[in-house]
Parts: sequence; C-alpha cells; structure tokens
Amino acid sequence: MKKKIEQLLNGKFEYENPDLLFSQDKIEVTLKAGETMRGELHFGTAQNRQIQGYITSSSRRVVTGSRRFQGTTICIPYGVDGVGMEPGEVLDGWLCFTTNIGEHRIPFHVKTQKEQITSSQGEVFDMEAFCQIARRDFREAYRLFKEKSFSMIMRQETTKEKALYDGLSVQPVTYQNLEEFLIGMGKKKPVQISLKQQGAEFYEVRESVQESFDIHKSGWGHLRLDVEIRGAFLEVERRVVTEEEFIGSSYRVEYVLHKELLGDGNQFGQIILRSPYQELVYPVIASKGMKPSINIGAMEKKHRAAMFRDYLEYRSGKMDFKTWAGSTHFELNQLQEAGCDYPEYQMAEAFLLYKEDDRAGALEILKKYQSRTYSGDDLELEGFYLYLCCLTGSYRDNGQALRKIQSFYMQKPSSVMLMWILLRMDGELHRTPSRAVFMLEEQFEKGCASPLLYLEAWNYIRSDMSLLHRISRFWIQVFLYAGKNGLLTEELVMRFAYLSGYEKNFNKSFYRALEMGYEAFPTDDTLEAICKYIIKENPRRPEYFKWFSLAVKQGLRITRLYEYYVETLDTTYQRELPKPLLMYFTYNDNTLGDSRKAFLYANVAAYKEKEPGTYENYKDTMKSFAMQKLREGRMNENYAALYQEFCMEPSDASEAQAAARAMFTCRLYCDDKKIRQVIVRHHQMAKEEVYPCIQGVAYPRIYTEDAVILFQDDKQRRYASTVDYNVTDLMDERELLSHVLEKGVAEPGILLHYCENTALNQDNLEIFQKLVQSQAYTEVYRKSIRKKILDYYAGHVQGEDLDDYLKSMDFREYALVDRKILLEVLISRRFFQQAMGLIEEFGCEGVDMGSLLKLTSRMILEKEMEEDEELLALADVVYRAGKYDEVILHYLMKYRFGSIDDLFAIWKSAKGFDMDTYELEERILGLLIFTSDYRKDGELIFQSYAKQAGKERMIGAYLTLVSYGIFVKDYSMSTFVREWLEIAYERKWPVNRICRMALLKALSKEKDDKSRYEDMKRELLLECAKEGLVFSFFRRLSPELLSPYQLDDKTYVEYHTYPEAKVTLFYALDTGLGIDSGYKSEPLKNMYEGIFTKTFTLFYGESLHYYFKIEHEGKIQKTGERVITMNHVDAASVSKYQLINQMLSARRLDKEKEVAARMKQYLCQEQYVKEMFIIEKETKDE
Amino acid sequence: MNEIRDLMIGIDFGKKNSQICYYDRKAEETRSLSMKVGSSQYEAPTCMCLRPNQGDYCVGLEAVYFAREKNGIMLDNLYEISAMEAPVQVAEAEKQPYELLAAFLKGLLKFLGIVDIVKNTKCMVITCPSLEPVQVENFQRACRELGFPEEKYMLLDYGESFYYYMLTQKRDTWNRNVAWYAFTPEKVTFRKMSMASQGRPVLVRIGDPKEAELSEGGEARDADFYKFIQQTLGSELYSSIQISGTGFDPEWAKQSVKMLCYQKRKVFYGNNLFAKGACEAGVERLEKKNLKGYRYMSDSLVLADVGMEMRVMGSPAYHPLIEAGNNWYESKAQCELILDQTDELVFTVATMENPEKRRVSMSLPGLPKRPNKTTRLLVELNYISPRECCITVKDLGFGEMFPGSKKVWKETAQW
Repeated sequence: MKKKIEQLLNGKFEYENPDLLFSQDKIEVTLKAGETMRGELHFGTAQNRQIQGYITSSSRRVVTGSRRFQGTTICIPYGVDGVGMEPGEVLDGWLCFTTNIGEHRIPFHVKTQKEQITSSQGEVFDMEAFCQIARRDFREAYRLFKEKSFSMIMRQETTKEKALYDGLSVQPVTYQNLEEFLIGMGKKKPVQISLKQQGAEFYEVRESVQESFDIHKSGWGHLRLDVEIRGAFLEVERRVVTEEEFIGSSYRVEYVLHKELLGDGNQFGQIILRSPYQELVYPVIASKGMKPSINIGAMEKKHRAAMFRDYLEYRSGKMDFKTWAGSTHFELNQLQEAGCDYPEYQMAEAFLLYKEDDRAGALEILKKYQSRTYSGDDLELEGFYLYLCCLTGSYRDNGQALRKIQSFYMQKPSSVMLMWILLRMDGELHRTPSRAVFMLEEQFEKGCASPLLYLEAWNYIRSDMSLLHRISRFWIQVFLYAGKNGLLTEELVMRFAYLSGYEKNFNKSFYRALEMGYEAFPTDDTLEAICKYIIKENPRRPEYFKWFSLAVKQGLRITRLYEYYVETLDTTYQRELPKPLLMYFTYNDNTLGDSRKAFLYANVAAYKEKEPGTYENYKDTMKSFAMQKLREGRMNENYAALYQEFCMEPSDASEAQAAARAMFTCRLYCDDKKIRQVIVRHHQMAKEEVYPCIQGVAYPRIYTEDAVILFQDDKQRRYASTVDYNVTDLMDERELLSHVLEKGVAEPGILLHYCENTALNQDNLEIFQKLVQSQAYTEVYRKSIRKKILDYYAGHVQGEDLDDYLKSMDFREYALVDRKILLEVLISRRFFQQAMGLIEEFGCEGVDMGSLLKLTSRMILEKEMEEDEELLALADVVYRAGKYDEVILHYLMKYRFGSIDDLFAIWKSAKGFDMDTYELEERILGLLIFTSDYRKDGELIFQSYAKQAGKERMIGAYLTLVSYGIFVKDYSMSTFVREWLEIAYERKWPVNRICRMALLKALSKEKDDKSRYEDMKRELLLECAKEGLVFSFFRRLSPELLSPYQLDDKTYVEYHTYPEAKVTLFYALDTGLGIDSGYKSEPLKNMYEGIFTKTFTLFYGESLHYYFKIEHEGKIQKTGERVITMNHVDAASVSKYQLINQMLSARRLDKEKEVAARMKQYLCQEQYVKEMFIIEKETKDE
Repeated sequence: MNEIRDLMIGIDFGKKNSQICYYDRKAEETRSLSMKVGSSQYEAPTCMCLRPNQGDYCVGLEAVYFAREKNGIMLDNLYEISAMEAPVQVAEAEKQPYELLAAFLKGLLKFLGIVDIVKNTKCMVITCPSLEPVQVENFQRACRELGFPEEKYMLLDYGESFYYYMLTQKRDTWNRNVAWYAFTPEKVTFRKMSMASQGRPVLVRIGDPKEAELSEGGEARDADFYKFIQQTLGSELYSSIQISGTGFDPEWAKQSVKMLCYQKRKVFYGNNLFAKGACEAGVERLEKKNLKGYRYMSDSLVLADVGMEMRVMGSPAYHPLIEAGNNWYESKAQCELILDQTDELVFTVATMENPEKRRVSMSLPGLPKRPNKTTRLLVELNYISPRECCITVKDLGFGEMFPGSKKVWKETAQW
C-alpha cells in the first residue's frame, strides 16, 4: 500500500483499472452437513497485470487459503466448512477481493444436501411410496431397503417402527426381512399359499412321466418356498420357488415320476412346500399295478367284525347271553341277506343255536355238511364242524375228534379258531391251565394278536391268579387289553404291580399297563410299584411327575423320590410344594441341579409368608446361592425370583454390577419351532441384542416399552410380526434401580431405562450425562438426550450449581445436537472460552445476537484486544447484525481489514459513538488509494482524517488520487478537497503536480476573481508552461495570465483517454469560405496522463471541424464530429491576435471605422516590435 | 406362562382385591398370574393410579407404589366406580366410569405379556360380586373400548363363577351339596350349592345366603364359626366345603375345621376361586362343553322365551328371539321384518311359571301409512335387568320407494 502511495505521489497513475477476471462468477457448493470441502478460484486480468491484495469473507464457513495474494494469475484455494450446519441449510455470502485494481465481490451459495433416497422412478419420500414400489417391483424395494439412507423414508414413522427397521436391516438382509418389515409396518399381510388339488394318484405307471400341480398364492410380497420330496420315485424340477416364478398368483410345480424307481405295490410320496409361515403337503401315490377296486366284501367284513366284537363282549361278561344271541342272530341274518351264506356263518349259527339249547336247529344245519369233504385249506372249518358235531352229539367219538383237531392245529398252528376249539375240547388243557396258558403264549409268540387270545388268557389268570408268575410281552398285552376293556380286577392289578418289581428293563407298554391298573384301582402299592418301575428307566421325564407327585402326596418312601419329584416338575410356574419335600431338601440340597435348586428356593421364597419356618431354614443357603448365581449371570424365572428376594440391596459396586446385568430380563415364550434366536432392538441402542431361544424360551433384556422384538431362524431370516409370543417380566426392578445407580453402575440398558422413564432434574443430571458419554447408544439418541440436557440447562441458567457439570461436558458432542442452545447456555454461564472454541468449529448461526454480542465483547476484552481471526469474524457477524458496543467497534476498527463498504459502515458507527477513528480513517484512505477508489464518501473520511491532522503523505496521496480523478476523469470536486488542495499547495506538501493542476483547474472555474488567487494561478500556470502542458481549461483563465505564454489566442481541442492509446485528430478548418481541402489528420501526443490536447489559433469567424480516432488495444473508436467556432473577441486585449480578431469582427459588423483603427494599431505594434527587438545569436548554455 | 394364542382369561374384579388367571392348555388347568413378579401374590388391590409424569395408569400393587412414592393420583374405589353412571373427576379431567374400567382391565391384561391381546384372546371372562345393570353397561362399554368384540368377553357374578369353579373340579367334590363360606373380617356368609339331579338338564342352585357375625379372633371366633357351621350344615350331606375371602385362618379355626372335615368332607380354602371359576367358565362354554347337562339357576337368568309368529321363507313359523336360561346381560336379539296387514308387533311369550304361550302386542303409534308389505322394521330386544326387556323398533322404510322415517319406538316390557 505504501508503494501505491509512493507511486501516486510520484505521479504514477492508472487511467483505468483492468477488470479482474474470475474463473467462476459465483461459488456454488453443495455438500453434506458436517463435512468440509475444498475448491479453487483462479483470477487475474486480461492484461496480465501484477495484482495484489487481500480477501475477506462474509462468513467463517467459507475461507480462502491465504488472505493475501500477489501475482498475475492467482489461484486461491478455498474451503467450505459444513460442520454444524443442518441438512438443507443454505448459506449465502460473498468473498471480497480488495486488490490494487479495485474491489470485487464473488458471491457464494453453500447448500447442505438433503439426504434422499431415489428409486428408478425418482425420489422416494415416504413409506407409502415405498410400498408402491414394493408392490410393483419387490427387487427394487429390496435394493432400496438395503440402502443406507433408507432411514430417510422412515422419518415420519414412530420410534418403534424405526427400531423395527434397524432390526430387520441388519446384515445379512434377506428378502424375508423386507417382507417381515412390510408386514410389521402393517402394510401387507403374509403371503398365503394354497394347493389347488389336494393330491394325486397314478396307477399302471408304464414309463416315467412328468406331472404337475398348481399352487396359488394370495397377495403380493416376497415368497420363498423350499420344496422337499419324500419318496425316491419323485423328482422335482426346482428345489426353491420364489414369487418371481409365479405367473400371476399361481405356479405350477412340475415333478417327474420315475418308473424305474417304483417298487412293488403302492408307493407313497409327498411333495412338501414350505414357506416360513406354512407347510403344504401334496401327497402322491404311484403304482405299477391296478387301482385297487373297492372291496365288495366290506359289508361282510363289517358284520363279521360286529359278530366278533359281540362275542368278545359276551365272553368278557359285559353282554348277557340273550343280548349276544339276539345281536349275533341279527348279524347272521344280515349276512345271509347280503348273499354271504357261507359255511362258516352257517356253522356259527349252528353254534349259536346249540348255545341257545336249540339242538335240533343246530343239527339241521350241521346235516348239510355231513357229506362234505374238506380240502387242506378248510382245516378251520372242518375243525369247527367237528367241534359242533361233538357238542351236539352227532359225533360220538370225542377222543378221535380231539385227535383230529389236534392234528389240524399241528398243520395250521397259527389258527386261533383251532386253538379256541382245542381249549374247549381238550380235557388235558382243562386240567392243567398252565399248559393252556403256555399254548396261548406260544400262539402270541407266533405273531398272533387276536383279542380272543388275550381274552382267553385273561380269563385264565382271572380264575387262577397264580398262573401269572412272571411278566412277558404277552402278559403285558393281555393286561393292556384288559385295561382297555375295563376287565381289570384289583387282585390282578396288585399282582401285576408286585411282579413289576422283578423286571429289570423298562418297557413302555408295561408302564402303560401299570398306569391303567392304577387308574382302575389306585392303591399305594401299585403307585409305589409304578414309581419304582419308572425309576428303572429315565425317571426325569416330565410326564412321570404325576406319579412322583402322587407318591409324595401319599407319603411313600422311595429312594430319591423327592429329587425326581423336583426334577420332573414343570418349573414354569410356582405352586405350593409339599412340606415333607421342603424339609427333605433343607438337608439334602446338593443332590439337585442348579436350575431345580433355583426353582425350589424360589418356591420357598414365594411362600415365605405361609411357611415362615421353612423360609428361615433355607434363608442362608438361598442367599449365598442367589449371590453366587447372580455373579455367574444365570437367569430364568426362578433365579429372578431369588435375586428379587436376596439381591435387591447390593452392598458394593461389583454386586451392583452383577445385579444390573440381571435386571430387566424378561421371559419370552414362543411356540414357533423355526425360531433360534430372539433379537431385541432398542432404537436408542447402537447395537441389537441377540438371545438364544431354547425350546421356545428366551430370556431377553428389554429396557423400554417401545423395544422391538424380532426373531431369527436358522437361515438367518428375521421375523417380526408373524411370530406370536408372550413376554413376562421376571423382576420388579423399581427399588433396585436406584440402588444400582447409586453404586455407579453404567450398564447401558439400565441407564436407558432410567432416562426413558425419568424426567431430567438436577439430581439425576449426572446419570443422563453418563448415558451421553457411552458408545452403546445411537448417535441420534445421544443427541436427543443431549438436547434434553441442554434444554434443562437453558431452563436453569440461573443455577450456579450447574457449572460443575458444564465443565465436564464434552461440548463438541453437544454442539452437534443444538449448537444454539449450548452456546447460549455457555455464554450465559460465562464459559466464553469454550463458547468461542465451539463457534470456531461449528459456526454461530442462529444463536441469539444478544448472547453473541456479550461473548464477543468479553472475548475481546479477555484477549486484551489482541488480533484473532475468529474473533474478528465473530465481531463482524455481530456487527453486521446491527449489534455492537464500543469494544467491538474498537476491535473492528483496529483489525478489520475488509471490504471498503464494511469499513465505511464501521467508521460511521464509530463516529456515532464519538470514538477515535483516526487510525481507521487512515486505513480506509489507504485502501481507497490502494484500490483507486474515487467514491465521494471517501472524501468524508478524508475530511475527518485531515481535520485530525493526518499524515501529510497520506493526505497528499489521497489528494493526488482525487486530483487525478478530477483532472483526468472530470470528476467533480468537493469544496473540501478544493480547500485541501489549496492548503497542500500553500504548505508546499510533497504532493504530485496533478494536485496543483487540479487546483488550477478549480481556480479557473471560480468566477469571483479574487486577487489572492492571481499569484497562485500565475505560479501554477507557470509550472504548466514550463512543462509545456496545455489544457483546454486554460481558456477560462484570463488572457493576462495566458499571454506570457502566448496561450491567450489559442483554441484547444482535448481528448481524455488511456495514456497509451493512439489518438489521431482529424480536423478541417472553415475560414468562412467553406471547407476547402477536406480533413487533415494529425496524431496527437499524450499531453499528460492520457489527456491529448492540441491548440489551434482560430480567428474570428473561423470554425474548426474535428473528430478523434482512438486506437487502444486494437480497438478503433471514432468520436462524433465537433465544431468550434471562434466568435469571441476580447476588446480589451491588444495582442496581435486579438487585434486581428477585432478587425475581423468589426468588419463582419461593417464597422469600417473600427476596422481601420484596429488595423492602424496593429501595424504600429508590428513596427515597434521590429524596431525594438533584434534576435541575437543563440548561445548553447541558455 | 406358555400360552400365546386363543387365550382364556379369567378376571376377578373384587371389591377390595382383584386377580387374573389364564388357562394353561398343556397342563389343562387354570393358573393365576402373580401380581408381583417373582412372588406368589396373586391378588392385588382393585385400584388404579394415574401417573402424572407419564399420563398413564398403572394398576394394583404398582398403583399403590406410585401413589405412595411418586405422587400418583390414586383411585381406590374402582368397584364403586364400576356401578356409577356419572363421570368421575380424575386430576383435571372428567372420566367416564367405563373409561376407567377399561384402563384397569388393560393394566391387568398387561400381566399376560401378550402383544396383541384382543387378537390372541379367545375369551375374557370377568367376574364380580354382583352384576347390577349399570355395572353390566359399564363393563360392556369398557370391553368395547379395549376392542373386545362381544363374543370375546363374558360377564359372570360370583355365584355363577362359583358354579363353574365347582363343576370343573373333580366330580367327587360336588356330586352332593357344596357348602360355601365367604369370609370378611367381620362376618361369614354361607351359601349352599345344590342340584336337582332328577331331570335333564340338572338344575344347579346356589341357595340364599345366611350370615353370621364373628368375634374378633382367637377362640371366640372359632366358637362363633363352629356354631354357625352347626346351624348351616346340619345333617345334610356335603361333598366339599369351599372357603373364600379374607378373614379365615386355620390358626384360629381349630374346632371349626375339625367340624368341617367331619365325615371326610373335603375342605378347600383359597382366594383364587372366582378368577379360576371365571376362567373355567370360558373354557367350559367355548371349548369343553362338558356341562351341557347342567344349568345354573342364577337370579340373573331370563326366564322367558320370546318369539314372534311370522312368515319365514314364505311359510308361517315361530321365530324365536330370546331363549330362557341365559343371563339377562347376554340376552339380546335382533331381526328385520316387514309388516303384513298389521301395524303392531305381537310377541309370543312363555315364561317358566307360565308355560303356555301368551301374546304381547306392541303398538307403533304414528307409523307412516304405506301400502301393505312396504314397511320394513328393525326390532331389537335387549334385557336391561333380569326382568326388564327393552324393545327398540326402528322404521327402515322400503328402499328408495319409501325412505325410512327414522322413527324409533322404545318400550320396556316385563313379560
């Protein structure tokens, strides 16, 4: 700047500043909120001028790499800082380039990006739009769903729904997850599939064939069907079917039936289609053979079965003879009518008639068969016939008959009928029932399972219990049969129970038989036998509980009975346990597993009011057990009950920590078999929590009411709303919560629960702050809590006691939440340093100006007016908002170096405060000079500055600048400048000549010809004359002044332009005789700083036509023609020139006399001069 | 609990205490829900507390806690509120009794831990000591408020609940008479459940209560009760004896318990009888249906068969509307009909005392004159107490030809 002053004072002027050319007219930046960005701006001039200067920015968000610059083409890097801006926020401002060739402003426009999500159809704004996409193209929806910015769509949804999204968007994201998401949001129903046909049957399969069936789905959405086949002869085309394979709402499942893989007979296969929600089974029956025809004998079978049933009933004594006979007659009749008049039925009728004592009737029938011969296949019939003959007496030789039948039986040992006859005929068997029983058993071993067999056996043992002396498969079956048919007797049950004691191995059927026995005749002995028997197997099956429970109730003494009782007990709920059991375990508690022990203890605790004695006995053991398990982190409803009882008042931090880990555990039950894991998603938490789901039960920890519970199957697919479940709390944490927090536990879930359910106040501020510091939560949630804290501070700024917390705050984090409130709180609590630091990083938009004013002012004082860029920027912001005080003004005045307009404003404000503005003025003047700024306002500054006795050089330089403007550019001159020009002249300041010329010009304009300026004018003119400078304004000077330089007779043509331009004057003189020889041209020389002047001597009446042609930088410009006519005569002057003019004038007016007089005078003067002056030889040293 | 869907819920809405239980299908028994996690406390005070901070209600023990510790606004007269018609002042707002009942029920249902309770409930049965018309109205509105459709809830009084409880126990506990002693700290009430097993269905009655004052405690109380037992049981045969309510304690009842257990009579004491009974009622009525051959004769039963003679599908027929033998609050009917050469409605009524059919007519003054068979009416019958039946008739008009006049006739009949 000094250089510029020097230049000015030395008369180095610029006619015109070249334009600054920028690489862009406007800086437009779009960035993400919170990010920063760099850019470059190039500028220079067309003329490659050396430029220098500095840059100021209207905002601290946009700053340049360096403040000063110098060079011909300059590259200025700039940075845009979006930290602290909100998405969608817009910032407008400018960069001001104050250069030696003037001041330029480049506006900037910073915009932070709004996050958005776009589909192929454009931006997706909300859930509705998303659903539309999903409906149209699930794949596209899936793509969007996976996108990070999907949460934008969720903006308007509830926190719970957001949590749902969080939970379902965890990697790996499956189509199923999206499906569940849409269902969970209530946007659709699960896709249902159904079969159109219920199955298929193929007979006479001669070759492999391809077959198919259709399935139908409802609604839209994702569907994945796993196809499974059962049956080796089947093969399906696709193992997996998704919704894309469906045409419309149906899909054809194609499968191949392989003939070569078909075995004999009917082959049963299944095609199973599984969706996560459904399982469809399509049965396929295939056979190489014929389709079985309908059994025409079904009727016959039915009646036979009815007859057989009736007989069994009759034999077991449930039906009396009459009813049986009647019913059997009816059935036989029916058979007869149906055309089944077979020999066996006739014989049966004969048997019945015999039984009814109708021997004649029986014989009648038997007669028909007298002469019949029986083939080998008809052994049974023959046997029966023989038996009947014996009965009726038509066959006398019973012994032979028996032998015959025995031989038949030997031939066909599997025949029940023959055996039955034998049992009736063989006297030997009658006498030794053990043999008969042995025969029955033998029959059973051969695979016979006829109820008749069992019934016969049962009848034997019923009549003689001693026949039953050991248990075999046979007897178990017999027993079961008897049990089922209500034939059991108390003695036999007891016998059976007794024999069970000898059994070494467990047999399920035997157990069932015993069970039946007990149901029929509940006795303690049987009960004991059952208990002992099941202990032989695996006594821990829950279904055995009823026995143990009965045994305990009956007070039976069985080894480990109580243990088994507890072990088989359904521990999902508490009931009162029998007292003896509790007493037993007081002393034998190491025989139980942990979880059973927990159940037992929980039970004792639950009934402590009813059984205080028991509780007392157990108390110590329970307590230590509870503490130990709590540390181990064991959990289920029973442990929870124990913790509840004993761990509610943790004595130290480690206990509290252990308790905290157990808190808020719930029991979740779901009966969906596919579920492997339960996931709890708190939208506040950064991570989800995954719990194993074992046999439908999980113990997740749920801290808030809006937590979302998700389920995951073994294929990592997640489910939300399609899995039913129930959740119950395991503990009542109300009391514990405060204890745990007091002990300083920082378990994230606990804090979360607390902060969600408690209003912030002074006492729990610390807890909230603890939460905020933890990484376990999402940034969004932490922000919301920070916001709460801030709001609390904002509402309680008067409280002194908050300062401690404030000090420990991580301000950066809070600034991200709500910079505005944070800053206001900090400022009001006088945390100026911190506030300043935040502003430096995050900006100060939106903050109350009053607060900012306070901050700025304080900070300036604190820094003792030292220069600080940030502070200066802040002061600038405050000032621009119209808020300032003396300190700020002072600071600004001291350091602000920005655009001239701003400085002007500051100056005006400072003036308003009556402040000392000297330095500022000097700076402004300097800048004006530097940028060659001719604004009128500048003169006000100058005025003020000059009045305060400013520096000569500065004043001089400024005057020079102004003078240049006035002189070369014809700017108007204020009186003040005029005054100072005069002063400068009088005081002989080292101002440039142009000042004097400007003064002269000014003086030339003044009408009141005060004599005191005469000398001044003369001197000034002299100076010009010395330099040979002539200007057109000279014509306004009096001829007396001019005449010494023979300028009084001159007419001037003058043109102001670039000093380096080539100016050619074209002119033609009209002496009153018309333009004679056309235009002459003459190049003009630069008289002074771009003022091109030529003098002509025009006589009265002559007129000069002229125009200029200007060539500058290759451009040629012509001015319009102008005419000067000399029509002014100075009557007083007696110069030669004027005399001629006077003559000319007089002649024009036909004043002959006067013409003559003037001519005379002229000639006289000419004569004088000739005679009085002799030109001597010029000497060199002149 | 391991029940997730088709829940059967029993709620005992008592004067002092309430409880909730559910039916466990796997174990085939009703189970009470503990009101305090981890304990076997199945009863909680029938009260509710408005939490000022959260603006919501909590119930039972929670309510007591919040009222005591957190300055919640306590509502401990819920039972009285249930029988009130006028709104109740709660904090700044006026609340309708049914709104409060709904809030209370909602709070109780939360103990089940089921997310979508209405969807997953098969039946919610609420029982309370007695059911007055206003209470019924309030409960019905409360259930509607909670989103329960009519078929998903039932109301029972204690008597009926007792009936269901007993008859779903082992048969040998009720094949003869059952004695029921309901205790309060001051007195004991005796009722006898007996059945007339001659006909089908077997009519089960619970006799009128007998009361006795009891001394403070100890031997005197024992003696008082002993005397009362003698008076009440007499020489009749009882299969079992049920004791309910607070005020009984085996500690003092030495003599009397001996007396009760005389002749191997089984004595049961419990406080969850009604909740379980309610729950069993739901299971019985909707699933098991074992008690088809039995009928409980309560005071709330409607004893009239009401129907109308009309042409149904073109042929004259008797169209039954109300069938006797249901509780009055479950008795309602609705039908649409077209008047045929008449301008009054004739109901055919038969009551138990008066078994032959009577005709009761209802005139419809001001019925618009229209051609024959062009007046369509909506007839609704609604019992508002055991004896009173409210009949509402609406003129529906006849399509566009004769738009409905919106006339409504209302009459309360006592058959």
